[in-house]
Amino acid sequence: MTVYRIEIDRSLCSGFGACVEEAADAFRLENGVAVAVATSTDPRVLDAAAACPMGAIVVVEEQAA
Amino acid sequence: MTSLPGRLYALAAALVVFFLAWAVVAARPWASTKAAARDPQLVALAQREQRLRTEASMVQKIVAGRFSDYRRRFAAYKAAMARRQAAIAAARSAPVAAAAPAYSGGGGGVRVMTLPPLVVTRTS
Amino acid sequence: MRNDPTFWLLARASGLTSYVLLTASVLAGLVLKSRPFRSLKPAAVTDTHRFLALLGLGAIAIHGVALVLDRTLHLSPTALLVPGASSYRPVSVAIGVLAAELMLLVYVSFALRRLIGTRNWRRLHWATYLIFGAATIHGLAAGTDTVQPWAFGIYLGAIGAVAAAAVWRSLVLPSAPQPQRRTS
Repeated sequence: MTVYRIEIDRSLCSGFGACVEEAADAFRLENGVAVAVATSTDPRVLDAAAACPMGAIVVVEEQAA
Repeated sequence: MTSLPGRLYALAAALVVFFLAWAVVAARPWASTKAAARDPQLVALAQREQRLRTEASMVQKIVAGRFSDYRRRFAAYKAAMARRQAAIAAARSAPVAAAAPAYSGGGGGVRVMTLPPLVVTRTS
Repeated sequence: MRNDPTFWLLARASGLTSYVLLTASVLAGLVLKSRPFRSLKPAAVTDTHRFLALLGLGAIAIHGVALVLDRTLHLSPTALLVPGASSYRPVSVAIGVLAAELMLLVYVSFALRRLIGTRNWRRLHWATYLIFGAATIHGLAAGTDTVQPWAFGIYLGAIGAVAAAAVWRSLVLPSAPQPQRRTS
């Protein structure tokens, strides 16, 4: 099972919320910026990273050891 | 995230639109001769050109007429001058011929010839 | 002709070009949310949207400089910056000046997102509709080529496209979460 580590670049995030639309389990908007869970096994977080208009989300694949 | 292909497409499209717009605006395919004739500067220029052309042709006619008159009068003068000189030559040679027998004959006087009057005919 | 028409032609061409670029930028921005083409990555569309706006601003700069350098209208540089200072069709030109200055403000605001706050930046961005409307009015009222059918067609096409895209964007519902991962 691949584990995805999520990082959000807060300097780029502008609160569009596309990530929330793609993967509401992993992302939410707080005070106009997105926050995410640290890790997730849901592959939809990759779509969320691609959907960000600012390219602020980085998803790193980690194989569970 | 910078998208180089996107930027290149955008730049290319912008250049195409710009030069296309410039070409269409400059070529003015919709301009008609009527629209050009309504420009007052062009109209005034055309009128002035027409006036100058008619004046020039009038002047040329007058000058040509006068010069043809001069040529006719000069030709008549030359003809009369030629005739006069022929008469002078004839008058000079005739008394010599007449005077020679007079001198040789000794008697009669010098024959006097009167020349015909000098007439210059004006044909104009 | 006594006057060299180069700057006059340049002013008209650059004005039309800037309008087309502005329209393209607005459309790119509207497409960002509604995503009619799923294969286009939003981050790439964002960059293209900003780049088109920058090109539009460049074309507006050429438009203004060419108008000042041209001998047909005798515009002073003041008329480029102060709305209403133009001697030629002051109202239409003023609308254009305001549209250009607002466009510059909106473009610069992106870099100042941190200063003004993301929420305020998004509120300011609604002004792009106003910019597009003002630019259209300026082109229709002050544009010399507007009477020509091809130019009028450009304005109509732009208005139609922006209106359609805006309606489409307003109707976009949040997409339902997909159970499987899509190949992208």
